[in-house]
Amino acid sequence: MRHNYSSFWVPKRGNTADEYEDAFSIDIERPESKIIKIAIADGSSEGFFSKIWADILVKNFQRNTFPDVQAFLEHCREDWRIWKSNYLRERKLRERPIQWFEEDGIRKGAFSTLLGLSIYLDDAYWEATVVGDSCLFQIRNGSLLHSFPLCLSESFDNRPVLLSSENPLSEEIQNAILSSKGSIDEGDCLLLMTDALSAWFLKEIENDTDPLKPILALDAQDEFACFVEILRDEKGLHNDDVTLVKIRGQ
Amino acid sequence: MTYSADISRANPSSFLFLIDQSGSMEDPFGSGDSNKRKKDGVADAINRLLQNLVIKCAKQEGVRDYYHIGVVGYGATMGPAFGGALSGKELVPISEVAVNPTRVEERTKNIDDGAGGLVDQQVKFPIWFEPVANGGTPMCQALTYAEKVMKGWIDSHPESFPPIIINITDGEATDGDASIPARQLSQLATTDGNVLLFNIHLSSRSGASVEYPATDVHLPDEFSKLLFNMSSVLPDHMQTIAQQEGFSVSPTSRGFVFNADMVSVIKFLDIGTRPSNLR
Repeated sequence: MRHNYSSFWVPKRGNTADEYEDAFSIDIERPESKIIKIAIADGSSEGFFSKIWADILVKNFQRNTFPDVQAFLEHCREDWRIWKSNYLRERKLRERPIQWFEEDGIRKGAFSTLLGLSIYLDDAYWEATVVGDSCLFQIRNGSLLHSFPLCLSESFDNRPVLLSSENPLSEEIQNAILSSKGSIDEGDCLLLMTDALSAWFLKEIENDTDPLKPILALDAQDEFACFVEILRDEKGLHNDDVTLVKIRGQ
Repeated sequence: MTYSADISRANPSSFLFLIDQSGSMEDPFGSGDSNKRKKDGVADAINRLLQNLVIKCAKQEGVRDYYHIGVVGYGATMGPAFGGALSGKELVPISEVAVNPTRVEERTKNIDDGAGGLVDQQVKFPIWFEPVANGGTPMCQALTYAEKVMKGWIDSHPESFPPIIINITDGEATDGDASIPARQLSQLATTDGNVLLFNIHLSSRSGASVEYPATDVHLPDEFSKLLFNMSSVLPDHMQTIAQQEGFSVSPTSRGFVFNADMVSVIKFLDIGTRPSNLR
């Protein structure tokens, strides 16, 4: 079975595209591909360089050949340390010393969710791992079959446990790493969403207002931006960066 | 639903601090540290609140203007209290506060090492206000002035998250019953809710500090009871975060502390995702 992939994103209202702090990456499916890896990450608004950290996470997930989460995170942190030391050197060269109000944020670093999805093409199943409140939804025959890791709109708050660029893999984070898997049938659709859109999506399902039709009909980035604006104005979509990745079996 | 407006640069909120600079602030602070005077406690409280608020809004290479900030001093005189480039201004974007402390000290601070321990680290500590103690305590005048400033701000930001006013005092107003102008101030509202008036009571009385109480029965004197009764109830989302931060709060807890700081209230502000593992 082969798949179509499409991605959409919009920054928080009032922010520029440069200030968008989510990230996503999608493998290119080739005839010889056995596994496709897709990831989304939501860099937290409190924290410095969250976009950079979110990017590092999704890119490392995509080329992930690491034996475990610990090794994966170590690799991500190594990329982070290199980036940060280059940045600090560049600030010196620019004669822009670190200001007092930046010290705390630079010391505490960045935080992000990560939702990594692997699709095993020959065996027709998926595996997902997540930290935080980015969500995967599996749609079959026009209905929600699987919702991971959150199933209720009320479960979202602004205080998730996230992957830190600075701190070691604590027990708190280890406990927050969740995994799931499922089979894929022909025609299934997998949706990856960051938290604001996920919360809206689940709320619509709870209210028996079908959110699938408009989501599945989305085709272009401009269309998505308009769609999000309408949801913010009319449906109480939380003002946040929004990312959607759609994967449809053919 | 009230107190749910997004706080963004396009739709900022506001903080107004009222600081008691009266002669009675020369008296010792009652927390057992006899060398510390109440005026030191006020200066420390306002400097730490401003520092934490700026850090809350900081991103790499800048500070985002999520808040407009004012500081009013009341003692021998009453009016805007920022010095230097901000002198005489009623409300300024927080990015201007960030770059205009009067000086920046180096201090040693115990910092979480991320592995359950603490390490000493040199940190920069900005100072905007020095200790001042002079004259009477025209708190009523300051609250009336705050009402005027906030009314103007709300007129130009009618849909914003409501302004927060934090009054730092020893509670002994010399110009009347402060609860009357406090009530008028608290009646101001945006479409998102009423102005929030919080009080920090720094007293010469010793005794346990009290944070965000739901009743005045354990407060030690008439001044603390008055300030408690002037204080707004914490909105729901602040209660939720306060609980997550380990404070014992209930639906009737108020924005009031006795002989304690209120830096924790900065953590209760919601300007986006805050990781629960960010310490």
